[in-house]
Amino acid sequence: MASSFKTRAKLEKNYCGYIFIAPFFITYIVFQLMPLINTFRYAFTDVRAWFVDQSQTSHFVGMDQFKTVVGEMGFKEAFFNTPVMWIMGFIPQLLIALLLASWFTNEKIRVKGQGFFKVIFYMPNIMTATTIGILFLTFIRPNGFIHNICISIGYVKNARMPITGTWFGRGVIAFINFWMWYGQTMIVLIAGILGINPSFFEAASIDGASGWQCFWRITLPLIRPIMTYSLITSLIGGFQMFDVPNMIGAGETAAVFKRDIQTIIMYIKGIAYTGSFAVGKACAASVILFLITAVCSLILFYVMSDRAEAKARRAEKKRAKEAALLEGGDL
Amino acid sequence: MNKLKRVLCGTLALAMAASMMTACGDDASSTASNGGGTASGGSDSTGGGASGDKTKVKVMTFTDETQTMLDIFCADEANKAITDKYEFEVSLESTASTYIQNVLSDLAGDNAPDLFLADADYAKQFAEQEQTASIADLGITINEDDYYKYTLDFTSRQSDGTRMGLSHQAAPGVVLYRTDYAEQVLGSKDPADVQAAMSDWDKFVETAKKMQENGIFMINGLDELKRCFMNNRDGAWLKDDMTYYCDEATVTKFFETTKELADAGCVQYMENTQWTTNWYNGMQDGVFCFFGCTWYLHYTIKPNCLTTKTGDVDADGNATAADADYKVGNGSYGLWGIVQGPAPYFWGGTWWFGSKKCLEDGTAEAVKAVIEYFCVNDDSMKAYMEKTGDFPSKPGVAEQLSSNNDFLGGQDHYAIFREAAKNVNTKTTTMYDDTFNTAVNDALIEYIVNGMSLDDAIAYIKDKAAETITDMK
Repeated sequence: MASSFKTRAKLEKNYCGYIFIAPFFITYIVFQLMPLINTFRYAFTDVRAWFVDQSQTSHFVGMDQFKTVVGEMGFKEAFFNTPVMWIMGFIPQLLIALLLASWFTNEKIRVKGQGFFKVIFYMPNIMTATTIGILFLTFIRPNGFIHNICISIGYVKNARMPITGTWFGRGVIAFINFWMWYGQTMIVLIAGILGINPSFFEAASIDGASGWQCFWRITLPLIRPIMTYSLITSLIGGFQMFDVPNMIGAGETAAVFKRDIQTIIMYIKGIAYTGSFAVGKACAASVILFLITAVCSLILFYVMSDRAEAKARRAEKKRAKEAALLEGGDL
Repeated sequence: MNKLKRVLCGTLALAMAASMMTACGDDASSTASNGGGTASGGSDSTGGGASGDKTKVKVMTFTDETQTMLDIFCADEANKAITDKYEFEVSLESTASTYIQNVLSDLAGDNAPDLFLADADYAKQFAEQEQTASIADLGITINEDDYYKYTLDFTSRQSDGTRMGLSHQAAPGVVLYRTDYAEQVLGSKDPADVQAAMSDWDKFVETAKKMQENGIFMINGLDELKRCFMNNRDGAWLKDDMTYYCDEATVTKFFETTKELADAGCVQYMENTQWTTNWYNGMQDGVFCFFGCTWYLHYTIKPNCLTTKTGDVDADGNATAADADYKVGNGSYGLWGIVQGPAPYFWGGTWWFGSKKCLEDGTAEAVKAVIEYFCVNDDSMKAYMEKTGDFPSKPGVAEQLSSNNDFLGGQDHYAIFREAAKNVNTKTTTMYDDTFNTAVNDALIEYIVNGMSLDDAIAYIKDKAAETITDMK
């Protein structure tokens, strides 16, 4: 009696769990997984022909769409611009965030009004990218304050001329990304630093280590996992950069550096939703984007992971195994 | 106890799932009621009974003008037979790319619109759709000679010339100029004299330089002359077999004319300003002429030339003009004149289409009635034009219209438009023109602002267009 009750109870517990997680999986399958699979399928399909002529099942075109996409000027520009703008923004973002995080967590400095500063630094991230895009657009348009500065230093010849220059456009985007995200990175890094056992710092200071040494020898190595996390999430976000450059560069108003700040997603959106609605080609570009992002993430993950520690762990395991074998041999 | 737990668990899970579903449901129904709310308001005002037993006519549009027009249709006692039976459900999407996408995908499915409208940029594309009904399918008979030919040609199927859509308006392009500057620099504000000063592009540039010497900009932005030039190309961008063709002579002339104006300081902003704040600001002061058209006169330059606006604040937070603001002395109101300009062209228009679905679900009667009311019937077309100052697609109706427009200092704009509409030629338009217009805009900026060579800039148009038009050769 007791045993049969046990089995029943176990089974029903499982069912309950499934019902609870079902909504997520249903939404995920319908709105994420299926489009994802279709993206891969469409990348190899002549979608338009397939759509018009529904009698035939397959319009498989192999790698054709990949070849066309890769040969295109817009594609090359976009695949150059996006990582360049990401790197331009991410390096200062990480450095400033690291600096602020180590100040805020430093026991010796004890920064006053920390909460206030954290809120201020995090603030740009709360605003929508569109708002920020429009804000900066007003700065750089004729009569905007940056435009006026450029006139007064002689970079722009007259008041009716827009600010030109490849690197200016990219710089603006990189700056906005930096400004929007350094607060967020800082908060994440602070959490990482606070997670370090304080006894390490105590022991180090008793041994006479300087603040600089503490930072390099204790803080930095121990927050490496968290830095890997921000680096990889930022990389993925960076490759999908869209809203800010689109606000700044898509309108006729800023067509001046449209080509210099066109990102991959802007390019994909352009070919998918204008002209002849080349969905298949857009999917091919998306697949390439996915592959590049995946490869870059893996490389970063490999570079950032603590190889010495992993090696040590493997060696330890091997020793234990050998020891066990030896013991077994003895018996 | 265990049973209770189980029941509780199950209920919770169900509630969660249900709340998800209702959340979705709420969304859909609220948008539907948003779209339909105003529509049923329109029919209520005509004293229609319970809306539940009326057949719904699904209307998709890109402009809020459609709702106004349908309200006028419903308010007319003559249409009582239709409004008693049918109810219009309007869904409005004003972002062009989204609207095109919505219409194209809806047309192919079960939820197809019965009646849908198109702007000039994509009317050709809609006319080519399999699910679009022709005028004849809808049972509308027209006398083709009664229309400005281009409004019919524009939405005819490329393969066999079947007439697919009808327009209530024609949109011939003109040049709007400042009478006060004309008097100051050219010595006369008479339309004939101004036309003589810009009858071809050389004279246009000459006049521009004179204006510049007096501190007046000839045009506001680099893209101002685009439509006038692009409408007069000697061939379509794409031939029937999708081969690319560029009328290099016209494009070169356009680029060089604009560059000459830019270099001589005759252009206020060295950027594409159409539909931007800088464009609207230019209308208030400092710029001699704008390339506009029929609807442009009423909906674009009139409200934007005003400096004092006392009306409500719109969704973007800008003040709108109240009726009392439209008076001489406010901004540049009353200081404008109209001439044909260097070359005839057209700009935009609104076309009405019925879908094949309306033939099946029994709403064809209503679709036919609405299209006939605005696009075929002379009296109702004239009444609508008189109400809005718009320009009709039928020359016969246009003949009967005249205006004493205080915005134009008493000039009758219909007289100019009638002449301009005769010369409009849309032979070179294709459904891909929107893509090419954007490409030309970008190439122009590369050439004038970013210092690209003329040959490269012309080649750039093709490269740029090839990205989005996949089967171009």
